[in-house]
Amino acid sequence: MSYQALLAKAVNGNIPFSVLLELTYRCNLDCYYCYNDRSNGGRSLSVAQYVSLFADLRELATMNLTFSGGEPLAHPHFFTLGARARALGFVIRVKSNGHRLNGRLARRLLNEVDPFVVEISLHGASAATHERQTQVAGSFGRLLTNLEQMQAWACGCSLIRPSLPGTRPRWTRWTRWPSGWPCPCAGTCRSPHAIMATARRWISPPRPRRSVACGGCWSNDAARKRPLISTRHPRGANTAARVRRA
Amino acid sequence: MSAISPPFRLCADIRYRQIADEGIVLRQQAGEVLVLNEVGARVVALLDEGLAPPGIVARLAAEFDADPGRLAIDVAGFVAELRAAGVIEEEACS
Repeated sequence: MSYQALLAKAVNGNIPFSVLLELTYRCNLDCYYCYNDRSNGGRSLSVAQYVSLFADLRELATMNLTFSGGEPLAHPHFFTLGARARALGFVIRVKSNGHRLNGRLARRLLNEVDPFVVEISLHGASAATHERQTQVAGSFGRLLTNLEQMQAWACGCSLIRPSLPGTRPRWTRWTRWPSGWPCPCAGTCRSPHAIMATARRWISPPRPRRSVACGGCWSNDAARKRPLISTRHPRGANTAARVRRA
Repeated sequence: MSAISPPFRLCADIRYRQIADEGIVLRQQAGEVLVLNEVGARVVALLDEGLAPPGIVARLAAEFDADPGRLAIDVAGFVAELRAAGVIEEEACS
């Protein structure tokens, strides 16, 4: 069975293969387009409730677990939850604005949570464009510094570029900037099974001048079938197992 | 017996889930996905439980209608393949 067939099987079997959790509405930026209503009341789940949820998700065969927000790193127990999710064998993605992810925190993130990828929103190739969205002065320069530090710690990340008013005309600059970023595909490596349909509508496919390969992405191309015992011994144990179980 | 001192374990960057009868393995560092058939998935699950190959063969022989000798050969070959693929590693002795 191929990877795609297996995903289809999960979908058809109502298996929540990928789950996105919005840990908090808190955020250290103030993006004007943000759909989270921070004035909304309510009480977030406790750590114990999250741990119970993780156990349930594992039981349900969930593999991909995305931490989002708000800014997930703003959750007071983010690292506790991340470490627990790691211990339960989830493939962890973190959707962050990168504002806090300096070298020290990136190293901690790697050591304790070990995410498959950190997806960071970048709104423009200049401070003017980026900060028009985030509404926080200095956020562009800080993000670049953090990205460099993340690269130094080999913390895999990909950049996502929300398609927003005021950013589209400046896309041409993306093709020549920046060099030396952690992910050479600069945002093209979207997971094929990401479930954030709303965000997906915002993310316009970039148009690279040439194809780039990204070794850190879990893409369709990376998936390959490894028929092991059954192929080498087609009449062996596997065949017998089917007969007996039938 | 083998559960007391399991010789193999999943490597640290391996993420594994079972979807129905099939298994899916992600090698996180390499960004590579391996899809395992029913028996392959069962072997990995038993390795993850801490069973050594002889214990795995015994369990499979009890679960499947297959010759134990043939199972031993299959399991040994599969374990070697998993090691070569960087999915499992020897449990460090203390």
